[in-house]
Amino acid sequence: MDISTAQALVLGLGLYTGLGVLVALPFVLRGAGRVDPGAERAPWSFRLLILPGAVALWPLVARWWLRARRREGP
Amino acid sequence: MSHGYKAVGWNRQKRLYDGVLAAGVATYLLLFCGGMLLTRDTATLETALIRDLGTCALLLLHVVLVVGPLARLDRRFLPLLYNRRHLGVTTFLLGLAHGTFALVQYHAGGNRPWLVSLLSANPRLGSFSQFPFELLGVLALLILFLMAATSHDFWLANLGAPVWKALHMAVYLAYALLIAHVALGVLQAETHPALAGALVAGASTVVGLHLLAGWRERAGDRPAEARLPSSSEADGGFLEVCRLGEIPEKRARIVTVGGERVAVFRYDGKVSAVSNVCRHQNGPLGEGRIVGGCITCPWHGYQYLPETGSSPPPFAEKVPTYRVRLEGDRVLVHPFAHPPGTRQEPACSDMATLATAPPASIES
Amino acid sequence: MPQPHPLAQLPPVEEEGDFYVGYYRQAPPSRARWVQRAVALLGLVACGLALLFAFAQAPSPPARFEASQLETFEGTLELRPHPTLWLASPSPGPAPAWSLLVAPGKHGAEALVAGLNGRAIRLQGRPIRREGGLMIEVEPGTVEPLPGPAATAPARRSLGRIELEGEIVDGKCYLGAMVPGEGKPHRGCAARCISGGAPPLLRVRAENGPAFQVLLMAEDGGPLGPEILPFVAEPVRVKGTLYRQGSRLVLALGGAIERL
Repeated sequence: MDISTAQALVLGLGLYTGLGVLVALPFVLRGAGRVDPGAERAPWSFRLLILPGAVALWPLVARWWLRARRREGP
Repeated sequence: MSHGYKAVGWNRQKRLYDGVLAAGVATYLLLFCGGMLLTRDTATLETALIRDLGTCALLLLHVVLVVGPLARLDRRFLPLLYNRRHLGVTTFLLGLAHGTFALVQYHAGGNRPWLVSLLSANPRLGSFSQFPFELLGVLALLILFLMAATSHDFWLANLGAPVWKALHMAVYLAYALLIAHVALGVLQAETHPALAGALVAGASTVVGLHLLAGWRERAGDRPAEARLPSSSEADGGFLEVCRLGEIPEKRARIVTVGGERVAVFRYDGKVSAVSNVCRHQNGPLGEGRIVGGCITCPWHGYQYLPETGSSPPPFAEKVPTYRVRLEGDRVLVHPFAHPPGTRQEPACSDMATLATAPPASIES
Repeated sequence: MPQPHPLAQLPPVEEEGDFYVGYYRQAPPSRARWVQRAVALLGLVACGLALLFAFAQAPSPPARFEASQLETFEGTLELRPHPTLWLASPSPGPAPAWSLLVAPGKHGAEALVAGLNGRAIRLQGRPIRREGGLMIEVEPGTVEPLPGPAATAPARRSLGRIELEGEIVDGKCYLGAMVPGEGKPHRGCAARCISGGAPPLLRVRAENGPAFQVLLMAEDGGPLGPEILPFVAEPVRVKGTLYRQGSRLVLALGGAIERL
């Protein structure tokens, strides 16, 4: 592929991952427990383990979290 | 099971599994690297490591892929399936190490950012033999990453089994990409027939075992479905599925009813029917056993009460249940799948029936 | 009547105690034995494959990067098409009288020796050797001009127009910075190195006799531009004027590169 396409892809991937980290960190600390009661008292090792997936799937994870908040009320 | 997640639900079997896996990987890496460096006085550690890690990851991916069909063909392989996700994650980690070393070796220290160089250094997208094989490896590694990153039961529970399963079926796409990555990459330079031969043999094993297992399974499904609509066998909507004597005690027969596989269990003079598909990873419940009063999945030991299809508390998994009737020693199942966890009265066999239909000898 | 599923009967002989539940402490002994045997067999196959893969690769070329040997070199610098040091005091024996210069990483040495064309210089660097040929990875900050007159670099003598077939490789990796530093797996790196200023060589595989290398340059005697990058690491035919300069061959590309 040509260089401008490659640069755009890498930039896009960087932005996506950056946003992913911003969403995933609070998600694994707090959101996961709201979305799934099984994660409420889970140890830090579990939170670390789901972090890469939360970064990769952050739009989905953000939607789950918003839905859980709406369900529970503010 | 999904009650209070842990990072890894360690137990003795998993430790054994992982210990053997780690020892196997270490032995492979040492043998390859040692063999390559000792027989070539100018070989470099960097190239040896890249090839060592890459071949080890691909070999392990073959193991990951053949364990499934092997366990379907012969249940004695089931223990290999038990901790397969650690095989998968190890495969990804080896692939990641291979990719990272290759990225640094071939693209770092130049006049472009590493990843930009990786994506753009070979522009021959239109060629077959000169195709940028690195892109195939990158795509495969992305798939393996997504699978490894979502391998925890947390993701299975929250993505839902169908999405999770579909995502993990992408392993076949990753496998195809990796075969092309090797064929259009290193095999363009390393032309010893044993290397291409090994790749062909590996791919043939994977494809062959899948076809064989699939064929064996379909051979079981087809006659059942073909005979289903016969109205003479319908009885108030109930369908005769087998004789009581054909079900061994504390085990099941898998029958196809209304296009779905149903596990009909016999235990303590009672008969219950549940969906054959485990909530956890779609394991075949009907190949499991009643252990401690619960249907126990042969893959990971997930358990369900036969009457309700629900996991015993505190676990929350549920599978669909079916109504069952006994007429003499005929076992009848209603093809309507009740919502997961719906209680069904088990059919009870009286002493007379039991006497005339002793449980099938398991050897038969 | 639906048939019992055939897989529900596999294997035909299975004792009650043979059901494997992973979270139980002990696997049933018969299962454990079977799995032990299967895993041992798998381990043997894996070990065999590791050795097969290690031994079935092509022999490594006689190329070497002495990355830990910082040596001092003296000679006359020629900047174009790529920095070359015409060595002042060749050691006795078959030692080369010239060496191409490169910088660390995937870079040419232009920036390290700029402004010193035709001067006598001393520098420190790490030798890269292949089949009697020498290249020096210059250690930045060690290049110093020497006082007094410099010997002149040998003149280029034209050998006429020629057509050659071979593979365009980056001089640094091919001569030993990477082993192997040629062919398809190395293609991306070759493009990166040449685009960074490493001298491109045409590796010509002669019909009879050993392969030899020709330094590639533009018709005006300068370095080639990025137009050659899509042609690296694959079989090509090039046309141009071949020159002999001392013991080295240089090809001034004239005309398009053809893929074979």
